[in-house]
Amino acid sequence: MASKYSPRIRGFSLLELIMALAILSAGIVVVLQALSFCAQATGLSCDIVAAVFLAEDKIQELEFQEAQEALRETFEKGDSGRFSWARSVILDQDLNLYKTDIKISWQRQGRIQALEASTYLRK
Amino acid sequence: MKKPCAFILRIMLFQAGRFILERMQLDLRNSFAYSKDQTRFLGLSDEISFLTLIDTFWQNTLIKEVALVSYSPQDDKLMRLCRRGKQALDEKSGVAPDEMAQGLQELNFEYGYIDPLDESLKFKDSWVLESEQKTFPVAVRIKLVLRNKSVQEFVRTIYLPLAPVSQ
Repeated sequence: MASKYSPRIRGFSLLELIMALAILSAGIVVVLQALSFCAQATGLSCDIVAAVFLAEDKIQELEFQEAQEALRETFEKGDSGRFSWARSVILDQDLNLYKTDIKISWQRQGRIQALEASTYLRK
Repeated sequence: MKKPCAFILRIMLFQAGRFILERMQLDLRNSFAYSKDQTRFLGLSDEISFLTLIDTFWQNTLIKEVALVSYSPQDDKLMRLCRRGKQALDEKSGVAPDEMAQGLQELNFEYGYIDPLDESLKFKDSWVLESEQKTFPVAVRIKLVLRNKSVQEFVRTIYLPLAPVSQ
C-alpha cells in the first residue's frame, strides 16, 4: 500500500534534528570563543601600549640623569595607575656602563602580565 | 556605512593615541634653539610650539628639514601646524594646520624644570616668560584624553635632550 506522505515533503527525522542542533551549537560555541579571544587580545594589546609608554618614560628619565651626570646604582619601584614598575641601575665593571633593567607589570583578568626592557647607559 | 564594533573602536582609540604621542615625542626630541638666547619654544597648558627637524621626502630622498611645529586643540580635534623651511618663522605664511585626530576630550601640557632649591624636577603650566625663553624645559608632560565610544587617557613625559642639564 502506498504511503499517503510523499517522500519529497517529509519532515526531518529526530536524528537529523539532533545532528543539526549539535552542529549549530558547536558553531555558536566557536564564534563566542573567538569573540571572547578578540576582547582579551584587544585588552591585552591596549595594556601593552600603555606599558611601553611607561617603560619609555622611565628610560628617558634615566637618560636625563645620564646627561646630568647624576646616574647612580639604584633600585626603584612605584605605581602608575594599574601598572607597577621596577627599575634597576647596576654598574657593569667590564663594560664600564650602567646596565638598566625596567619591568612593568600589571594584572589582567587575575593573571599577572609583565613587560621587560634593558639598556646600557654611559657612566 | 556600517559602524565598527566596540573592539575596533577601542583599537582605533589606542592607535590614534599612540600615533599622536609618538609624533609629539619625535618632534620634541628633535627640537632645537633658534639662537643662543632665544629658543622660540612656547608652551601653554593646551598649546605648544617650537622649532624642530622633521623628515621630508625631496627628490625621492629622505632629508631633514627645519620646521616650526605647533599642537593645539580646535573644538574636539587635535591640530598640528607644520611650517617648513623658510615659512617656519613667517607667521603670515598662511599654512593651515592638519587635523591629527578627532574625539579630543582633553589636551594638557606641563613643562618640567629643575627647582634650584632642592634640585628636584617640578612642573609648571606654561613656558612663555622671557626668562624661560632662553632655555628649554627639561621635560614636557603630555596628557591626552581621546574618546569615541569609550574614553582613554594617555600620559607621557618626554625629556628634551637640549634642556639645560644643570642650573
